[in-house]
Amino acid sequence: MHKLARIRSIIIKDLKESLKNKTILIVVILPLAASLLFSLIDNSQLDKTFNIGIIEGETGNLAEFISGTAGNLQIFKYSDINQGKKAMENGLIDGLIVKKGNGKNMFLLYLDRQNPVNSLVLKDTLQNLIRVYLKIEPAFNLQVVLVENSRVEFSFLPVWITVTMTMIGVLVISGNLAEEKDNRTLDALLVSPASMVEVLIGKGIFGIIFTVLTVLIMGLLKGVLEIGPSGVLSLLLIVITGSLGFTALGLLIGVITESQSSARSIGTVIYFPFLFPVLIKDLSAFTRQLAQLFPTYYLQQGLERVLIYQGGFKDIWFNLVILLIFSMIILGFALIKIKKAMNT
Amino acid sequence: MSTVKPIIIKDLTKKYGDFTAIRELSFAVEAGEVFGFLGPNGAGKTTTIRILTGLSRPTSGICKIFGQTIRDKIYQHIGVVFEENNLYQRLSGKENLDFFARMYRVKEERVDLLLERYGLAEAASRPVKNYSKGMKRRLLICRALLHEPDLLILDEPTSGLDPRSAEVIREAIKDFKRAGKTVFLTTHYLEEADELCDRVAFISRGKIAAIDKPGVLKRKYGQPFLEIRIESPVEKEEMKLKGILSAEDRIYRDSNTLTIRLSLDTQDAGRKLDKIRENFNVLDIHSQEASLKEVFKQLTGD
Repeated sequence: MHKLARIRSIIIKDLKESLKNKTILIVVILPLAASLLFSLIDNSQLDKTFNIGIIEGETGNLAEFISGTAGNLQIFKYSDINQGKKAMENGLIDGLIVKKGNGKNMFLLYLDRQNPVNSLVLKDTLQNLIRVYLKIEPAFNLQVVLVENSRVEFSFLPVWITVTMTMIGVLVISGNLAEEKDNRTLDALLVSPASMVEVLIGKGIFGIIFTVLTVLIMGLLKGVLEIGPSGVLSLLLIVITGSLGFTALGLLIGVITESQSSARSIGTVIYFPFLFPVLIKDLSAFTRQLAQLFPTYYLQQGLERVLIYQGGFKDIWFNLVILLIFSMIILGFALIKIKKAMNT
Repeated sequence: MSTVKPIIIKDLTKKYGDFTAIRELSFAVEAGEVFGFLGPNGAGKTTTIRILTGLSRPTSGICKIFGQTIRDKIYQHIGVVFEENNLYQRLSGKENLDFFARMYRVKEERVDLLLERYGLAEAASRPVKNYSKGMKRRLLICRALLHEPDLLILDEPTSGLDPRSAEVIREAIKDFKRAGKTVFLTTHYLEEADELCDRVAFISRGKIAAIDKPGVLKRKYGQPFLEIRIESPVEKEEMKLKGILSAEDRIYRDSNTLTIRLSLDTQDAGRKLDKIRENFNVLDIHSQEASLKEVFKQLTGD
């Protein structure tokens, strides 16, 4: 009973301290700010208006037809092809329509390749518009309906931001433990009735609570929590299981490093080997296999299933098991190191 | 608790690889005494304190606090002030004490009482990082006294403090002793050890060089001397004075006077004193006891 009270006191003390620690606040606020910033950029992408150049005179009423038919295509008229190409080189237009030769229905469409997605969309759209203009059958009417699943709030961005936030324990806990060692406050704690195990349990729970709170704040700010109660529950399950492993990793770093600065450096650097293979997983079959060796893969997959496809426990149980195994392995390592440190 | 010796150390050795920090250390601290543990830097004082407080394990030997080995639950009975100001700098003084009060299951009234007693009540809500060194030290004393321990272990408690703050700490030690409790103290200030300690141990290169009451050690290892103040002699007379004195005697020059420190450890001290009286205008003579500083030099060579 007393042990639980002491662990609770350590958690409260660490939470209080972290709120007054500028480094930790920056670690939390930066991904939050990035998340909000990226969503703004992403939203503007959805409403993008494309600029299309047309050579005057050659193309008849095509410019007026496009303007009147497609609201997100803005037409710019040029007197000759060279002027149009120059505008494209300067990034003023995304595409250029040119009449080819003397043929009545021959058109050339120049597209800026810089953004492959945009060029693909423009190719299809303009091709269809020109077909309709020329009354070439079969003209078809394609109506795009944005379903709720594709809302930017549930897109890949929050998934990745949640992945990095779930990993925050590595940075926060390694720095926190190393700071206690550096400032010798750990000595003061260990000559009190609190044992090293109690201190580490307290710090571990603090790390998980801190991560969950950060994810929930991000979720509230970005509307991610609109996935419903069972979705939120699944999100919490995967975040808690993931953060358990990364908090244990933070404890391990905190135990093995000599100083606060080395703990923070290792804590920062360790992000990359965990994140990078998962970031490039779709490049090839090999990169996918490589990514599957990292717990971050299962964390990202689980979050994707919950946040994008609004899956439940049955969709993420395998990811939870893998993350739990990872957590147990890291916790085991941490305990061995801690035991060794306590025996010296 | 009171019938058991607060500290018993027997054949205690601590090695770090090939380096032996302390070697077969043996001593006991009696209940109710202030015990000074003195020695130069690197002598093994901090290593001994780390073993005493359970922060480090000895390579061999026994270390008991109130009859219990260190790994047992002895922490309710000891209060420790470390050499470093190891406080949570971002938290306030009160938050620091409240946290440890919860660890020891001490009521909040005790926190307020200590803050008041050590003049920290007004600054209690300020972050510790804004405290002066003296205030931090006083807060450390409050933390060590929170749970009313029977043994106080203090590692350089007055190091780097202004005289006023150092006096507050010394008074706290005296109060603690007056309450019949025990203090284990390391300090670089030998005058302080002389003033506070019932017994002192000198540690040098990981071994106990001497252990006894300060007075006994001063008589045993120090050299008593006479301090003779004379009018400044002219150059010729000064040569004569040097002829009277021997190598262990010292001369200190002032503006118009010369002070001779005449060692009483030699057999011809009386003859030398007579000669000085005959040849010079003696202003005053004082007999002086050796200081712990001299004992320290004698025993540690520092």
